Amino acid sequence: MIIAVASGKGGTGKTLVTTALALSAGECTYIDLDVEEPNGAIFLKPDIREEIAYTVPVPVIDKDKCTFCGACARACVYHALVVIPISRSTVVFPELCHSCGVCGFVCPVEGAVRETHREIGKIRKGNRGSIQFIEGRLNIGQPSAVPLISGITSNYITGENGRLYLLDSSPGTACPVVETLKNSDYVLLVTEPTPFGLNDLELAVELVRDMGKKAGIIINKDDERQTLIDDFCRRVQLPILLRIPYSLEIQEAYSRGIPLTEVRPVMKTQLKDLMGRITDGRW
Amino acid sequence: MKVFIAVDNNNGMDSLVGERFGRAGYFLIYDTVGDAIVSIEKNAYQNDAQGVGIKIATLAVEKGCSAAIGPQPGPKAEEVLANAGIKMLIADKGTAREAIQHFRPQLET
Repeated sequence: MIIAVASGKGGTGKTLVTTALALSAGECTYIDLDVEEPNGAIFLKPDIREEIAYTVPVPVIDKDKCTFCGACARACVYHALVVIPISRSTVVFPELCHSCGVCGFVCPVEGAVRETHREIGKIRKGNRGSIQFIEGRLNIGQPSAVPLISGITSNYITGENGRLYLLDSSPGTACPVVETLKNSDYVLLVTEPTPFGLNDLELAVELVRDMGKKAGIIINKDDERQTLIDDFCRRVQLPILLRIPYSLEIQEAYSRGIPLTEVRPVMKTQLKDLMGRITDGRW
Repeated sequence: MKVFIAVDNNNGMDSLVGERFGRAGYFLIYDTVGDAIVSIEKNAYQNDAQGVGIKIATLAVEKGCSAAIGPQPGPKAEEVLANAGIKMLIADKGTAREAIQHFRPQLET
């Protein structure tokens, strides 16, 4: 069972929820896929045992073999290659490369296009008790988080029978989120009862529905006087699975890296029950 | 020498030098030997999502230009121009005529 935690709006409590779920589940794999600013480790405090450099293949042109015909540059839809016949030079923009390999495929000269590996980020692995911890950390200046996210999900979600995977997504509804949700069985959307929370939740719901994913809502910073999320959920027929109260105590603990389950131990049962219902297909 | 000038409108040598390099409205190619306009064409890539600077710099290469006049290009366009040996001359106001007059000494070498 793969449960992704996404939100639309940032700062609604994805990490608060995902880390609390992990700590309530006992045996599970927590994966921080908010690779541009991973912060799950602050709450789970895992014992990191391994750090792997994650690389993607990018082309290198062998200037002695290249005939400067320009076939690679014409084939590259990302404009990662420029061939300049007059000065017999080629320019490669590795950050624009999507590692599709078309340049090498269309090149008429054997060995003129070679592949090299460019590091785009790090994958850190460790444990916190029975929780397996995995985190992606994109290197500063990298334009796309997607290759790192897909690298982690394809290598570390083994589909081991019955194992629970909790994916902590990045906010928004753009490509990194799509990549994170792609392989999930269920999406938990964390929101807050504000007009901003609602607006971005609407977008997230649209995305989840487009992707054909089952989803449920968690309202964080819940305030019973604010019913806008409830009204929306009724309208689009999405279940509200949990409400985390608006509480200074929870906020203060969060700012110190103390997980929700330590401030409100009683929520452990609720969270465990929630995951049980999702796994059983009741939600 | 052929000069590639990024301009915002199509008004011969009175066209205004563009406010942006890759996303300028038109490109004027000027020949300093015959002192005449070779061509003015609309920027077909102006509204592309990405890679505009690279495409425009490549276009300057393909047109056989040895110098380019316009506002500061982005780093990728600049790299392509530098690799092609195209001299980039920075201007962000005035007309194409004024730009050619202003840079005349550097265009003759």
